[in-house]
Amino acid sequence: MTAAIRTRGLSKNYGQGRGLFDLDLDVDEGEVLGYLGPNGAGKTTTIRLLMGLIHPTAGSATIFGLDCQRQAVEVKRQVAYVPGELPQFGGLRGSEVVAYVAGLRGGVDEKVVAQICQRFSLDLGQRFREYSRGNKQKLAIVLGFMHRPRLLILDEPTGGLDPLNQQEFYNLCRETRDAGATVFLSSHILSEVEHISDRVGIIRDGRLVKTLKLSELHEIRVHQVEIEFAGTVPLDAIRAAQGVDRVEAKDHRVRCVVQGSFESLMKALSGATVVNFVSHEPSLEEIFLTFYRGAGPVKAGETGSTARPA
Amino acid sequence: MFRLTWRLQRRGLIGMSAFGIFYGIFQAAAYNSAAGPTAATRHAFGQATETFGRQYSLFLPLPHGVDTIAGFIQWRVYGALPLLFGFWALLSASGATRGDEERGLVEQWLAAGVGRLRYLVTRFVGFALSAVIAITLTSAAIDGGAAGAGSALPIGPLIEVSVALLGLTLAIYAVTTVVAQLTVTRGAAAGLGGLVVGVMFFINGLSRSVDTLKPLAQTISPFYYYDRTQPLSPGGTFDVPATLALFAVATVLAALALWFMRARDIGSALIRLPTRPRPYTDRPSPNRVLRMPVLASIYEQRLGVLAWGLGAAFFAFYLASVARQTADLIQGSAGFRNYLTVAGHGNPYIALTGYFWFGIALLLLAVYAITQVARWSADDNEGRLEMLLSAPVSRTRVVIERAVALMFRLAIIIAISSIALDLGGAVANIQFDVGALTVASLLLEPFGLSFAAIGAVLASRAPRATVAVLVTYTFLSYLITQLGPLLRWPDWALKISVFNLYGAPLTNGVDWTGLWIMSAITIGGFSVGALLMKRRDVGS
Repeated sequence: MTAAIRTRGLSKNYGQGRGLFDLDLDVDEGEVLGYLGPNGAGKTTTIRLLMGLIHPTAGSATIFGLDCQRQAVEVKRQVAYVPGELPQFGGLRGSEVVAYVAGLRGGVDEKVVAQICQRFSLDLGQRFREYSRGNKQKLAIVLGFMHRPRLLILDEPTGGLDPLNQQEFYNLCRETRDAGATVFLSSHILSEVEHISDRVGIIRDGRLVKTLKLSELHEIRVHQVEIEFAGTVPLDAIRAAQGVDRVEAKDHRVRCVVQGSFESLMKALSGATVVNFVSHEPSLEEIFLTFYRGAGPVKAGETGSTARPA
Repeated sequence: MFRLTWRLQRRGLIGMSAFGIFYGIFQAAAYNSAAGPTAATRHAFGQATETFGRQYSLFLPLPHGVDTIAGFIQWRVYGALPLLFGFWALLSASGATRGDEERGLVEQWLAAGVGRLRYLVTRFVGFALSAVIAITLTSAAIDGGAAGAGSALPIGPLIEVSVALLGLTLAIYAVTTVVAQLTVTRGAAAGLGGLVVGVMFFINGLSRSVDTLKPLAQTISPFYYYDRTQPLSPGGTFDVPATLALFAVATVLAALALWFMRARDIGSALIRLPTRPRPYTDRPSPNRVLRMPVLASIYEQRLGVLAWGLGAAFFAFYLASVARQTADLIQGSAGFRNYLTVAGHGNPYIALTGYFWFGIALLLLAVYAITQVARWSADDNEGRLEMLLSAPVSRTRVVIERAVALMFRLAIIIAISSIALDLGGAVANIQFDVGALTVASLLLEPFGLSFAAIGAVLASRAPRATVAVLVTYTFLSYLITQLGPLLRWPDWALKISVFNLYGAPLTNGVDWTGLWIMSAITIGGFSVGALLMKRRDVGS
């Protein structure tokens, strides 16, 4: 089977350590790859290289066997790109923007446009400048999905969408994948890629540091937990619980970091009176600082390998 | 906030100062060449110019005492600078009021605790300081140019006319700031502001020759009050009340703008017209034009093209309609009579119309081409080019479509204005040769395209610097056209200016060398533009 996306040694050096370096990545047809990294990690640079918008300083990239640089027009017939933010279309109405982009692409089914608009409650009769940020993003989604592409490249596509519309977007991605399309989803939110991805590539400082199957994501999933007790604090049990780290206790409060499942921590808390339990997902950068300090790049085909975790 | 305002202002300041300095030095230095070295030649020059200058009364004050360098500078330089500084004020005010609001900067500032009063005052003071610097440098350069020509200007009157120019510039800034409160976008603010300032300018221009318009000009036009001050002309004075009125108008209008800004919502116009309720739609627009590559671009800019066409038509009609009267005036001078008769192949009216209209048409089309190139540049900077190239569209196609769409838009503007010229000629009983007029009009196409082709190269290589470089080139080209013959520059130097390549086709037929060069620039420029576009990274 031809890989939907294949890159070999793909690099874009902006100098001063910025850019993308030596990216070897394979995305199979019909797969959803989450491309996870903090801001400035090189996600958008990767996408712009795949779309032929910028030229690599080294290496190559192909989409369905077509060279992203030399055959950019043919590549884009197969690909849809949903940016994190649409450019300004000023006084044009949403319906006019759709008609304009449909004219550039050709082969757009109006019924598909109508279906997507209905799912997201998007009124195409409004002028672009009158749209809220969320509605602009909905329009970007319509423009991306309307021509039934073989490959969807999504660059942080849920920015500005409310949780209900985010769920609708994840559903749309799953349906598109089920219909045979490949999805390349760039994001800096771990829970977002968890929703729809089959596999996750983690990029940091311009280098792919790890690729994981969805089932292996728990390796990097961590939560910061704060527990408040009414009476005795079972501190020893908490310290002994599997996956619990960096335990700090003060008065009746305990703070700790939990990696992977909460099961062991919950067992440690049984019998104690918990009056408050707060858990939040740290930022991706915090996770990386915790687990992948100094991690090296990963080669294509490698999965589940963590290079030198701290 | 002031520092940020200053940063936002600095490009305009540098550009205006550079233009002012070049313009001032060249105009002052050209005087000796134009007027000659002796008192007799200068007297003859003064008489001829005062007669000839009446034709310009729509644009420039009536010339007075131009047989002296100070009088010449008062008329030719300080008469034209209001246009230049007014244009800058217009763009700055629409950008500060609506452009920064579109970019979300105003919202950021207000959210950071900056009040609307402080915001407007800071922007106004920032612009005022920029204007003081630009005008001071320009006046110093003019004085330097005049001193180089052997006759330094008196300092007192030079300061007085500079103060009046500052007052006028601030008044136009304030007018545009008020008008911008009634619009939503920067483009609409600049357009409506341009319309209002344009009406003020032309009412005053017309009032110079039509006395009945004077009360109206006195009521609505700040240009009228600027005209009162002509201290460099022999016997001219500095009109203190008129100049104070300019500053007062600027202050009052700035206060009005503040009141309007307080009354309106950020991101909205002061007056929101009731909109027709539109039913919900989830279908793409049925408009087929939007799906056609070149036509979609023309459709998107249809109002702008129409406005340019009508504006150009106004100039064309006016100049043709007054050509007979002006030519009759000018022919009082034997030199001019012979020149016009020879140049017009026996018809001085056609020669004069061609000289005036096509000179202005070239400038208008050059400016229009720059606005289009600025859009190409903005497409890149603001992400629209990235969106376009995300569709199966090649970069070469983008460049070709830009060129073809521009060709059609130019054709529309040229056609409207040429029809208006013919109608204006008919009003003045001037019968143009249809073939010659058609050829002269058609040749405006390669002229406009060649400008855009230079812009295409720049936009493909360095989009962020494109407009500044192209505007500079246009300005210098125009100066070469205006001053090169006066300074007796060699022919090859004159040909550096695209303006000189057009020739005088209405009276002299096609300048084939010029046409070939313009065609080569057009084809070469767009080809190189396409090649560079292919090679570079989008958005960098």
